[in-house]
Amino acid sequence: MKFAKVFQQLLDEEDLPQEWVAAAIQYKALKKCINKVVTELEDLGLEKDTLQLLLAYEKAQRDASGAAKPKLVYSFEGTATEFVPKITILLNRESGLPLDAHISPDTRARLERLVQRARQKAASNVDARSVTSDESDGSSEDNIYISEDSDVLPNLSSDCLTPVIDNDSLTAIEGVASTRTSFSSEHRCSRDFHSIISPDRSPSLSPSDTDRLVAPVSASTPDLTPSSTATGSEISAASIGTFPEKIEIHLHSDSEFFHMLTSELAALDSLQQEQTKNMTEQVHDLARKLPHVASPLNKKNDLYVWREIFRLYLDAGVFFSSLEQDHGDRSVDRAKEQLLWFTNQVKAMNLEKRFKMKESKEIFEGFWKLNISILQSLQFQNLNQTATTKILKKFDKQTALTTRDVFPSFYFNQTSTGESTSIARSVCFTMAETLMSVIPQLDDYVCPVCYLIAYRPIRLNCGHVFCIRCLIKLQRQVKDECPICRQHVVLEADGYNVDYALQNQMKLYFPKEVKLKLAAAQKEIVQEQFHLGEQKEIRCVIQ
Amino acid sequence: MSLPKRIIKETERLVSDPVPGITAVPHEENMRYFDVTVDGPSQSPYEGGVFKLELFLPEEYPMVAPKVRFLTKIYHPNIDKLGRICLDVLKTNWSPALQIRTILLSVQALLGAPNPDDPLANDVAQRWKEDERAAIATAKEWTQTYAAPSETEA
Repeated sequence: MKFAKVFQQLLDEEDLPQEWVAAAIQYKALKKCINKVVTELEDLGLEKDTLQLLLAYEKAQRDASGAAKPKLVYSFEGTATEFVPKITILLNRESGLPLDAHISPDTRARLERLVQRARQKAASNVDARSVTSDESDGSSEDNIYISEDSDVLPNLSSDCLTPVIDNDSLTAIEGVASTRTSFSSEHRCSRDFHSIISPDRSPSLSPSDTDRLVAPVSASTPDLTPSSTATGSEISAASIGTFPEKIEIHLHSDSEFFHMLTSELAALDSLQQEQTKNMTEQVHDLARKLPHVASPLNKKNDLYVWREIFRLYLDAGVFFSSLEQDHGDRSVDRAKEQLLWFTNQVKAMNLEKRFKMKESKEIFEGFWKLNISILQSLQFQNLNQTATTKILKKFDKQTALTTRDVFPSFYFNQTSTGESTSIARSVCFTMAETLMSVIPQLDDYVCPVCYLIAYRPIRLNCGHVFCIRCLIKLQRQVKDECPICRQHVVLEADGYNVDYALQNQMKLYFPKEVKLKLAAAQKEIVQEQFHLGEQKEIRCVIQ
Repeated sequence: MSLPKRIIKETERLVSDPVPGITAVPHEENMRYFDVTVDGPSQSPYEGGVFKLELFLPEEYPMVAPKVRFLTKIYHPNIDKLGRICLDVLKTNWSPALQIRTILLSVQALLGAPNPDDPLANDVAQRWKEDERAAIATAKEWTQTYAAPSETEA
């Protein structure tokens, strides 16, 4: 089944909120847009095969010499909201030909004409030089810079087009028209600028072509303002006699595609932020209610039940695993599995029935629903990520341009949101910080030697805490090093090292564990005394 | 006699969250006795080998170190013919906060970093110092001969 269909089906099936579905990546629309890009590239003589050859050749060159200059570069310029994807082709300065032997004669001819146009334009538009020429290397080399844009997205093209918004604009428009004519060789070769803008346009022109070609006319009307003149094409060069170093081609439909994509990504991002905010608020709400039902200061409380629930939840590692073999984020399916495991365990242990307080049940329901929401948004996020990857892959496949190499790094550098900021991550963090911390877990209070609750707690001068039994054993063995940090602090420990605050906290929050520990310690002491007696007896016998 | 909580907990975690490249399974009749396997570290002469060891937790554990011994023959300057290991954390540097998993990781690390200056197998250490390349070649040979993963495990 095609992804577009699968995607739509998933969006329909998963019972997602309406505004989520609305914000999802418009896969189908983007797919249509790719077709426009393909057409545009074909018109430019940069069909898939040609581009593939140019890019492959460039790669081979680079691999061989390491530093060879790329002959054709596909890149993005600008900021996350205002950017231009462009193709840069390097030219041989002597001949003015593309620096590549691997292109077909047909394409070469088209590119040559492109250069030719630029030179003619340069002759009539020396003024533009100051604005558009790139003198980065300090020599007299100049850029030929061809841009095509439309009125569809006026805001973004203003930066690249400002230079031509003057009395030159008509030449610029002529530039585009005749460039266009020369490109569409066979069936459109006889068309000139005037015929193109005339009302009886040839039906063979695609809508995007029409936009592009009609737009310059409006741009040349006197009442234009800078922001509305984002149309037309600009070809500039100088130093007649020298060939320019490179041509830049700004693809109109390409911008359209990526602006559509980025605006969708931005919308998703703000939706995600809103969701995160809502869920964080829910966590805080639960955290406000929980102490009331779980506080050991209340005679009737659900402290132990809640501890059990959270321990199971932590063991489940629903959204993240802390195990050695698969630590890190869980996939959506795995998270689903783990959440199910948690739910089943809670049921199997009859924990909900063990709640003494009515409110506990409500809080638990809230907690469970919250997890379902996290799961759902994780799923939604994933779906959109897949859609984005797929559409870029499709784009690359159909045009041979390398968007997957170029676009993600460009976009995610520009925006603060990478793929890494998942809802699950930030909500779970808040959950651990504010909600789980209400109920202390035993693991944080055990002695690192006997793994029982560290009661009574002795805090060594290095700061590490052990139970008094284990510490006494160490002292008897005359082991002076702290088992954790090896500082020589064991033998100096005495009654002053009892951490009374911690001791009280343990008594309050872990009354059962403390009782068990005391019993175990008592048993050990009795055994030790018995053994001592036994040994003495044996010794007596031997003597 | 009932098993201390500490040993139960450690065993549980070894099963639920195993260390990659290391297995430790307790005997049913004596939960203090473990069958251990350690994979030879990559980029060491022991790479590709799976080494069998035995591990025993004495009555005083964790106040004393576990007893660990190689069962698979191994050519290593710090491991002798009987499989005894010269490793500081198993002897003087034992700390009761160390665990079965951390000790086995140390053993695995020892395979990756032989120390001929603190030898247990004198002949091996001597050879290691005199002709390291030949010693490594022998170690590789022994790994292939004695520590090849058995087919049932593969």
